[in-house]
Amino acid sequence: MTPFPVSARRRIAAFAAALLAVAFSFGCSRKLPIDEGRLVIGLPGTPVNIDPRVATDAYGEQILQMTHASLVRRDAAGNPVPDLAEGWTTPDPLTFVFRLRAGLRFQDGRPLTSRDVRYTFAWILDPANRSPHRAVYRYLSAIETPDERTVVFRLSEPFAPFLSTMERGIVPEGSPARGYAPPVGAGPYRIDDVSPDGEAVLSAFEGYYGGAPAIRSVTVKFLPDGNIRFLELKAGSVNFCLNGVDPDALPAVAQTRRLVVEECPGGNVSYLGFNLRDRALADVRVRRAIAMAIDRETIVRTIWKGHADIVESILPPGSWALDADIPAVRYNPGKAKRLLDQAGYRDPDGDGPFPRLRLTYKTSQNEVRRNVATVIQEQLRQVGIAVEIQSLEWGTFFSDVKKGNFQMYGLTWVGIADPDIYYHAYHSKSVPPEGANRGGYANPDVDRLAESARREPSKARRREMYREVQRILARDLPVLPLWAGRNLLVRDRRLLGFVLTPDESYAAVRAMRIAPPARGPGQGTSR
Amino acid sequence: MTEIPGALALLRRTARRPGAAAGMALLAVFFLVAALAPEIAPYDPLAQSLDEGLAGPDRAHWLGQDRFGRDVLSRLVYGARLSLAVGVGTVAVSLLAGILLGALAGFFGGTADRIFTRACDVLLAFPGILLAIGIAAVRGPSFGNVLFALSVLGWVGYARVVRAQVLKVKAMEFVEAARAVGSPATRLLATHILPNTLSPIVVEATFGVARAIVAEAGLSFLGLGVSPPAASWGSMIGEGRHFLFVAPHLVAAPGAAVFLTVVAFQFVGDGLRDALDVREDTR
Repeated sequence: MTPFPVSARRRIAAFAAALLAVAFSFGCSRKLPIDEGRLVIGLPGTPVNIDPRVATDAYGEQILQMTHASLVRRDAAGNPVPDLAEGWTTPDPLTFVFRLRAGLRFQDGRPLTSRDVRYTFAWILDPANRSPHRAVYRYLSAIETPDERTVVFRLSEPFAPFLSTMERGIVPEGSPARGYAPPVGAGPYRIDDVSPDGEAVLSAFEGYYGGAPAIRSVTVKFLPDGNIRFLELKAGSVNFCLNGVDPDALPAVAQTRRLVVEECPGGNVSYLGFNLRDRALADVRVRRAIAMAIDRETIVRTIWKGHADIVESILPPGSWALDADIPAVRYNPGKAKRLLDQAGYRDPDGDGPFPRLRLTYKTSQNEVRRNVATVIQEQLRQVGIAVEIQSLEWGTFFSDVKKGNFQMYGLTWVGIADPDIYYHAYHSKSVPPEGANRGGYANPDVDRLAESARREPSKARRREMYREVQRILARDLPVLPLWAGRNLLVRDRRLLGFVLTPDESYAAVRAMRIAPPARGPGQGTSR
Repeated sequence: MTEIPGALALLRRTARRPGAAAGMALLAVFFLVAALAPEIAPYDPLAQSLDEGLAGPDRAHWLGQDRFGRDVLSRLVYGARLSLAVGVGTVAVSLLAGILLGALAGFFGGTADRIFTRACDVLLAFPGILLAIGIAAVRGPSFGNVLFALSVLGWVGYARVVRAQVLKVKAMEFVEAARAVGSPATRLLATHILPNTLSPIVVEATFGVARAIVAEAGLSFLGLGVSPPAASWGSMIGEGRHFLFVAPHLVAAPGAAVFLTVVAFQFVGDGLRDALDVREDTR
């Protein structure tokens, strides 16, 4: 049985509880969490796991960004900067030496040493622990700890994106995997309590190397239902919500004077995947015709209400390797029809009901993806392509995608940190489960460039190689990059200091503070 | 022992109750709307007008427009086809299987009956809607899959009622008499026993349609019903719930349609029960 029924029941129960809570909150005056100095985050989903060694879902990672510190982290521009490490050196392309800060401690008081760093990565690499991150570190040949503050990573071959893989929470030596609840970390907040179907309660860690955060208490509510997030934001029982309000509901949220909306480019790129083993889709003219029949500008304007950027590459806007000069695929249904004619898919009956071509489009049951599928279905119908949408439960859908059991599918790349994604997604050897070349794309030039780029230490030369890859992919269209949704933050206007970044990171929560309530005319209360 | 009267007489007797009469009138309207959908619907239910998404009711679109600018009234009219078809189709499939298996088990008895009874007990222990959700989730949303998911356990209730009725009727004198003059088993079952077991089944089936419509609405609400862009009332509610606070009309219209149809079927079921004088073995 799928987990759907339980979550559906929970959602209904949570919805009823939220309605009651909101009704109650309107009935009597009470202090809002922000008046008590509490940050309440509405997370738009439930974390699958909160252990840095095994967590792969975005919601788990976002909690870990507040609770667990890594050797390096990314700054607002996405560049690796020191976190637990005060710095690093690279004596040769196969060796990375990290020097830990002095006096580091875990949240339970234990000192954090190089042995803990080695233990964390050794645990991930141990096949017995079946960590999903193991493949990421397969280039590690040895981890040495010459002293308590020095860790030496030795690689079996040069791997340019290595530093970005060091953004992994460190746990104390000997920590067993405890299922849902994570071991202690060394981040700015400690987890006091967590329940998988409710919330995580965090409190400030006094011994954090960067100093204890100003907001002492943080509650992270797991709220998968958009209506509940909307109600809780309006009521003030949630005062911070990142990418949790539908663009259609933003104007209604913005009517609440207590709340403000912030926006920045996002890092999650949606795309339409093609199966190149399919007889029709193996023809690049058919893929290009589909691309030209999809009116991305209208979809962004109407479905996303303008809160998304059209992309021509799977790299997110702002990526250092992005080629801004890739020729864009323009909406041109007339040319799409001509391309289909050339490919041998002529319209059998003009304006009649028979299509030129029938295709299936697989998607998850995520509402936004289903909406997008419905619009694409209609736009492809206009050029004579009949699309059957199969909206499947996530496990079935993703399993089909990995097996290559699809013609077209819609998915989103989340948090692409390094252009090495091109090796992972388009190298002919990167077939699932090791890689993500699900459509069976093979191009010797892309293989060669992606292999060379991951070994190349020079960022400038890597950029050139990836630009070449992007031009080839824009010509071959093994997938159609669609758009990158912009990050939308709704927060109480008294919450200050958060820096919105493309990767949806919650790391900046530690820099937040609560401004005193305004006392101007008509501003006596926070509601 | 109740005898099933002629269809017209039965309808007349049922319509004597005001609730049942109102229910029958309402159902007649809904079935008529479903049958004449292409003539009645003011717009193409699939035609999108993205720039007019979530527009409220106005003169051109009496019930407003959905996320994709599609006319809600037209989708409601076409949705009646799918929702009623799922309701009636599920009951038809369940009824066919239920009558066949229940009658055979009740008539022949012995080991086959014992196996049948135990199998029914096991199947009834399954929470039906959860099994339906599981089947629909794995097989993907489509009309056929919804019908299959709701019929997989739907037949058990009918089979048990039929079996109990057959056991009762086959011990009656007129059946004994028919057996004594040498009627073969199939003729006994088809012409003497089955017609005399149908009253409670008719009542049960009426309630069954209402239950199937609600179940379809539930599956579609969870995104497991008919596949887009087709409209059923449940899928309209499911799509509209995300805009509960910005476009409540998206949920209100199909919600009212489901409510009225289910109430109408319940009233008709109650009327039929009274008309057929079925006092037990129903529900």
